[in-house]
Amino acid sequence: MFRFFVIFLLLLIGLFTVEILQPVQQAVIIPWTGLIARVSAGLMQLFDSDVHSNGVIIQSLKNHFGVQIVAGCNGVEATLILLAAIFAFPASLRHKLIGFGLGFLAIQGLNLVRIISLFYIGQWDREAFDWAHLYIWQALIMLDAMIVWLVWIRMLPRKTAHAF
Amino acid sequence: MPSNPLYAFLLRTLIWLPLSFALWYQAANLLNLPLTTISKFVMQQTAPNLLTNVELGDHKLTFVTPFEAEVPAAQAQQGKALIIVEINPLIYGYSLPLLIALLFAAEGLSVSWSKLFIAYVGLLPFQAWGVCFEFLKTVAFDLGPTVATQVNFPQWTLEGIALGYQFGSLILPPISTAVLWIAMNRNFLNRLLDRSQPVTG
Repeated sequence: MFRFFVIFLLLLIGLFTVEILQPVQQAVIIPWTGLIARVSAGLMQLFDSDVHSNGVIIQSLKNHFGVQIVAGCNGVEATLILLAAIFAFPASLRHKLIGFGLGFLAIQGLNLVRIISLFYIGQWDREAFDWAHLYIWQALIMLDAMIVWLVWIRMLPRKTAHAF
Repeated sequence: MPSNPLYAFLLRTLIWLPLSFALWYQAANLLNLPLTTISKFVMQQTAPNLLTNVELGDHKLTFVTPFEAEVPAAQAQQGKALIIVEINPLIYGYSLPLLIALLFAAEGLSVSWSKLFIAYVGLLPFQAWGVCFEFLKTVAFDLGPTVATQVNFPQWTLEGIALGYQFGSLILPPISTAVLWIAMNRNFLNRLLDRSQPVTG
């Protein structure tokens, strides 16, 4: 377990440091965040024609309520945590890539649910929005990453299942 | 309850989560008491010129700085006033109700008080990290050029503060939860991951 934690933390610190570098922000993170805003708005437009997105901002044309997708809201950090946890765990590269690919989809999928729900909660009640945004969804996204990781380990060939 | 022990564990966590969040929020002012002392101690040891006191308020910590700001002439108490920085420590503390829900989901009602205490104490340093770096970030970047000139942080310090703040707000809360839960539940985790054995709490 000690070896896993050391590799995990080193990987995570390295990935996070790379993530916040300005060139990486400009080339990857900001375009990714904009894409998330557009996809979220696109999904909402299926049932709500008053939703509009501009860059990393999603806004209601009806009441002008808007949300801005920023660091911590784009699912990148949870994805990095999952990436570090999967690659620190002893398994074949093939299993790691499959696990990360499916985990990436699970985290980003739930993150879209989070953004859409926060957009409507915010129009309904500001205090509920703060609660959901600052506490509840943070915990749920982390729980999502953790469960994905556990499911992945459980699906690994049996010889690697007792790493702890 | 789902037959897959992982999904049953997830379901139990989701059931415990609202309860632990409600209790955590109700007890937040009490739980934040040691955080006030830790934050004050850390800041006075590392940057004593930035702080005169830390006070515990209703779901917030108030950092009193030695810096002064002009009070607008229109206000009754015209003159100068000390700048305070209010921080919501719960932003860095949501890991506690999550960890408690995970502990109860793994062990049921047999979770020991000592384990809950270890969870609380184990998360405090990470919460203090987040609170202290938010205070530093506010002083360095948000209080305006007058304070920034007085503080005069070198460039490498500013970058360190920015990195520490982002790490403390985005990475440490979830990581501290997962690491503590894994460390405290190795046996349960091994049973959870072993498909040949049933998992009990």
